[in-house]
Amino acid sequence: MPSFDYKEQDSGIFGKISRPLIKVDVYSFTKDKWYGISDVLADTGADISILPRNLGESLVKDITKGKIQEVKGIVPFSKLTVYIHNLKFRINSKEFELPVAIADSDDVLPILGRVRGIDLFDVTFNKGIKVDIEE
Amino acid sequence: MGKFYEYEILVGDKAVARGRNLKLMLEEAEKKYPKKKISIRYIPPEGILIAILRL
Repeated sequence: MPSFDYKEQDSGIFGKISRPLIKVDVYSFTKDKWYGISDVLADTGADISILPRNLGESLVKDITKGKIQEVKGIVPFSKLTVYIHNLKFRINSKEFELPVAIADSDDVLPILGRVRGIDLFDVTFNKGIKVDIEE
Repeated sequence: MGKFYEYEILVGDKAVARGRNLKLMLEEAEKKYPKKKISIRYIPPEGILIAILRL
């Protein structure tokens, strides 16, 4: 069972904050190989998984060939343009294909969201200390 | 963390490059470590993280 310790990062309000950051592997169709991605936010509040633009460009030939969408969050009137692609992820030895929003921006952190992502697993957030992920 | 995002290239657990030009850093790491598995870490800017995404 993969287990990931929460990682401490800087926060404007709290000084330091621990976040549930996990590691996934992602398959690059352009390089025909797997890359690891560290510090992916396990986010049950995200409908879809998301990757920043430069990272997406190292995985698919042309990110703009994906279905264009606008993603909204909690900030009023703020929208992010994304391109939806089906990518292959791997956690431990489990491979799965999921829709991923590749952002038209690098100001977006990698997120593993629910649809065909987190929802495939039993995920336990242990008191801000670690995240356990079971098939 | 600073005011702007950065990427870090890892070979095993060792950071071998850090910056914003991910493509160049990946190319250099792949030349230098052709048989090693490479990982990418996104380092976000400092701030409060509220990530709720909906399509």
